[in-house]
Amino acid sequence: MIDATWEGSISPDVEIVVDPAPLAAALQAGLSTALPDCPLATDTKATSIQPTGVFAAVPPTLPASWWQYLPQPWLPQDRVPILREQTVDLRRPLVPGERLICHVRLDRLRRRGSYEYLTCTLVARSGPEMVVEATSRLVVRA
Amino acid sequence: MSFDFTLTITAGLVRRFAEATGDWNPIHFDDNAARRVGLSGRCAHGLLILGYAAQRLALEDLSIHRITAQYTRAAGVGETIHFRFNAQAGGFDWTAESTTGERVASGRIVVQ
Repeated sequence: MIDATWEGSISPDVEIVVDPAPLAAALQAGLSTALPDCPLATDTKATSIQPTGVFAAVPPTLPASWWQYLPQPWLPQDRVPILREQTVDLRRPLVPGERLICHVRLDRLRRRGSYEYLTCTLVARSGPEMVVEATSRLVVRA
Repeated sequence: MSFDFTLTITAGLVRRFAEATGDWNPIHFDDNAARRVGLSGRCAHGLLILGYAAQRLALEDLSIHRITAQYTRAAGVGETIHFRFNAQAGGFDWTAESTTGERVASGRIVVQ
């Protein structure tokens, strides 16, 4: 079981450089087959990271993938978390190459039967400016 | 306004998504690992489903401010998922369903 005293804990700050290219390319790979008649989805030149191209805008779900780079000591290493709900709040579009300071907060930990439910929020800032909050609700077997 | 698209979850897409995000949770690659946590087999990342939903709206050149998702069940590797978007005030409600109509995920995307 996860130690209940972790609730409210905040991970150390980690600097993350916004690099949209790998995720944009991965998503484009699927959209190009799903939308064969959509030029923006199929034209690899247009969808590569061009300064004015659609995918030059950072995929809005990118911050939700940054969990991997942030320490979350409350997560049990011997059990697999399953994602149940997710919210991403973008205060402004992210800029490729910008550096954000991120941390993760364990907002809530609840046990119900043989499952534990965690609500975690990833916060990304640029100096004092709040840029992104991404909240995930996970469930793991107790 | 409403629109939709269909995407087949291939092992290649899942692997590429893992390479892009660093999420190598074994439930996405190993049927046995997935079954141990109660799934029917290896499955797509939830964020992959949400990523495609949001990226589809990005093709409409919409500025996205808020994205929500509730994951109802895992989308298995090999499954074909139908994404549907319905415009509502301030954004779109979206759903992702299997070909048999089972809900995989749903949520709302707020745009400007």
